[in-house]
Amino acid sequence: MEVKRIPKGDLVFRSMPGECATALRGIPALLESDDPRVRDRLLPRTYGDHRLEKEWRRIGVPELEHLFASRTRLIEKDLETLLPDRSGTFKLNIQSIHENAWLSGLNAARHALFILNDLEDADIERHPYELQDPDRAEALLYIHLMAWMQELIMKADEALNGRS
Amino acid sequence: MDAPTLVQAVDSSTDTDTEVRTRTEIARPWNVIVHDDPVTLMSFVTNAFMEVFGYARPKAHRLMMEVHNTGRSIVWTGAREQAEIYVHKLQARHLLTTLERVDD
Repeated sequence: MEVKRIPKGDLVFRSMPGECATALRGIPALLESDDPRVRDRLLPRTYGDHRLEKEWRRIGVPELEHLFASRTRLIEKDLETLLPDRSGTFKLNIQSIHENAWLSGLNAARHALFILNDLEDADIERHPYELQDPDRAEALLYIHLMAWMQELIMKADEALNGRS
Repeated sequence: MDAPTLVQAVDSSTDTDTEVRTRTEIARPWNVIVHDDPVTLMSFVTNAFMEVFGYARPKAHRLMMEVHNTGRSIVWTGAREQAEIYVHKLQARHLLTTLERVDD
């Protein structure tokens, strides 16, 4: 997969494998999962004290939920550019102002896949083909592909901003 | 973000003990704690610490490694309202983050 930053600042991905494109198309549904286990992970308990936690749930959590929903819309907008390119692979444009939304959205999607497919901590270090169950193997493959996307976006960001 | 106003106002009653106790509670700092998880990339955690707290990469990397090796790290300590702002920013990135009062 190639990544280039075009003059107006957007990131352009080319020669993206089909599996990666499929994984990315699944992100909005993962981010909108209403599975309580996913919700508990994405909106975790913050305070040990019951009263303080209740206040956090009343004030802090709705702000996070609003942020997550806005982020999903940004990712969906960029996914409209996910199209086949000349070699049977795919291309994708990520607007520069959406890069942080993608980085966090990919992290959330990876967590959701991990939880929804009952993966275990040690599985993360495994190759997908080591898992016997095809659904769990596919989920682990998508988790790895999304990590690859995160690394590519972070490297592009570091190259742009010279962060050291 | 507008931080939730969770801290109780100082009791204006004449009960001096209550007032002193409440003032002490308000003044006591809070720890922002990040917990290890098997999914989030280590590089993503380091970048988050740099972006949220403005830490230089060596400090951000050291804290990330502490999370990874020990299961958790106190990444910031200070006033409650600011601590909640930091928690919001870290949870927005899906780092597993909690708040604990110092000496709890």
